Amino acid sequence: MAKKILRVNMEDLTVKEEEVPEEYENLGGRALTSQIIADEVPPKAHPLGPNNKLVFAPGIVTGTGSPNSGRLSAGGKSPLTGGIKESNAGTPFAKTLAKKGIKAIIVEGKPENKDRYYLLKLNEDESDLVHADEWVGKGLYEAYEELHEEFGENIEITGAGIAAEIGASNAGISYTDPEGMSSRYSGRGGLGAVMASKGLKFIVAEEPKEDRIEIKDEETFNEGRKKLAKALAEHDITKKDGALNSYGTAVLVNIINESGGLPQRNFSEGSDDRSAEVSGEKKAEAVQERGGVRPHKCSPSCIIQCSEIWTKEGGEDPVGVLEYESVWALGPNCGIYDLDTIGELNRACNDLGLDTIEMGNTIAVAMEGGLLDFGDGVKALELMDEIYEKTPLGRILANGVEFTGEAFGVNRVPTVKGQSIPAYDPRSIKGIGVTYATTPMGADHTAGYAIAPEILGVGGDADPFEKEKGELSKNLQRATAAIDSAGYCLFIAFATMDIDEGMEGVVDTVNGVLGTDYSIEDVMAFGANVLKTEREFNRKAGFSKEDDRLPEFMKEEKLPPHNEVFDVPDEELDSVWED
Amino acid sequence: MSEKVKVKLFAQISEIAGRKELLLEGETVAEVIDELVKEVPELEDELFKEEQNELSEDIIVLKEGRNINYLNGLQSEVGKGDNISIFPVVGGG
Repeated sequence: MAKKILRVNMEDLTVKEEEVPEEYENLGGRALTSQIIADEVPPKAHPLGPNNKLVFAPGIVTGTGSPNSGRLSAGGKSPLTGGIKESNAGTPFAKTLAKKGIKAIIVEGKPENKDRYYLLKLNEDESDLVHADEWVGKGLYEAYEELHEEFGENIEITGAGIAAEIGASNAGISYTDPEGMSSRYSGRGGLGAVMASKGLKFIVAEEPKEDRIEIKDEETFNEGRKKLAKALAEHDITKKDGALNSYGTAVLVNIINESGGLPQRNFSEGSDDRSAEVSGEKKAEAVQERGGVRPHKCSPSCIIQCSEIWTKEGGEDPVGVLEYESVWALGPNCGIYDLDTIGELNRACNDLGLDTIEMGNTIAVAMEGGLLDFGDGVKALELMDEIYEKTPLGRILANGVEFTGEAFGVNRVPTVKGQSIPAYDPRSIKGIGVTYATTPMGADHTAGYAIAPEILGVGGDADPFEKEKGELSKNLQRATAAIDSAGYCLFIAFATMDIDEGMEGVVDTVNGVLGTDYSIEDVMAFGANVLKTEREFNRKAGFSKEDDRLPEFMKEEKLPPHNEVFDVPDEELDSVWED
Repeated sequence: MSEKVKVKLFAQISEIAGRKELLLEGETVAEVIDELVKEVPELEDELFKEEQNELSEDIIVLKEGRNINYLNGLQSEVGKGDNISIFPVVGGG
């Protein structure tokens, strides 16, 4: 049965099924969300206005059972950056959409009554928009429990939280994890606010009885799937009992801290011995002692299993995973070195519908601005209450780092294109700085993960102090755009960058699903094309190469302990966009 | 007279060694690692390639926060109070 696009019009409250246009047939995930945004959204549209659109698209292989293929892309014009945004997540919701034969959901328009909220219910054979006002102002953990009570256990949920209701630029889109909790996120870039601006509070998708996954060439697909699974099972980072499986993504806390690149107290230093208190090793021990879950998979096809379920002491009140980025942002970057405080801040983010990276950076900038002291976890948690209560201060904070920096007169504001910098300081690890500066997404480590060769020795070796990183970042950004479109978790790249057969497996599975004959070179060209589409949208929205720069303070202030500044020349940054 | 340096072990390396930190002597990274293996023989297979005096590719060694591959490798000099950090291959994001 042919795949379909669901067009959800929030102005007249209709849901229409459309055939997939020929030019979209071989697209999925990021390639599809970015192409639809480029085709249908005026680049100067207000992100929260009627002309912006929100698009969800599972990847090309999502739902097939190929390893680590449970990714979903969300796309739109970002209220945080003012540019195009694709933010992807691993969640069971992704395979549910794919199995329903849904290639993309396009949400457009907005209802006349801006205080009305709706729930899009995707049933077996039809879709409905029903009222969802009763969940306004409610935290997402509780709301998801109630939605399961109302619609049964056999559903997956997407939601916009309290932060989205106030149009906050840091409002992410939440998805269910395998336990049905609100812990999986298209966090970055404020797409939750776009969703809520359209009056859409939730999407509830019933698991379909009939599986509508299409694989055009089963033999090629199966060969590819086996090759990829083998590579993932062999590589030290992705294998069972390997680094990710044993300690989770926060295994990076120690190595990045020891390398002098773990930003402390709003990017004022690059290491602090207390960081070891919140390392992946410490956290894995604590999860075991408390009776949490580790390892854990974020979505059904995952074989790496880097996830976990963090709980309070005694195994109570599960939060979901505490990722490396979240631990850093809400921890060392705020001078907080206590996993329980970080866990509660992460819980508040998941419950309010906020991106943890942006929120942690916002608290750190508020600390810099004197609203609270570095290290004051109690006050940091009280600030989250301001957002629950939708106070003026809460609204400032929920709008992210730049907005908060302006409100409190701070000039050390770690952002690129309005989006805050993640957990690697680009002064001591320069290649990742090239990615932060040049990706169309605003500062985003996942857009071209130069940390792999610079620190981890994966996919080659590159001295983190070396400035010639344009070519490295360009190739990583292209490969990443392709992986984000295929629907694979980016972590497969640890294995596929080192094991050729794994990379062949990725290409084979894509070819198997689509019935195409792409080579690895074609895949890189595909990725380059996605980037080109995104950059062109940003150009029309008003961005130029002058926006492909890191914040001024990173060129002026030396970062201890290595006392480096970001000294990659602008020409090197611009080389990312040369063919 | 060589001085004490702090050797920090992480993730699986630390689990195998059963400890996180040691104070050892040596004037180069190679000498310090030799001391480490004398102290914790279980680490020899983890740290070195089979029957070769070369570090395994699955190990990352930092001296004062810099990968020794970008310094003078195993011959990198160490001084009093230097930190050496040893990691297995790790990844995340």
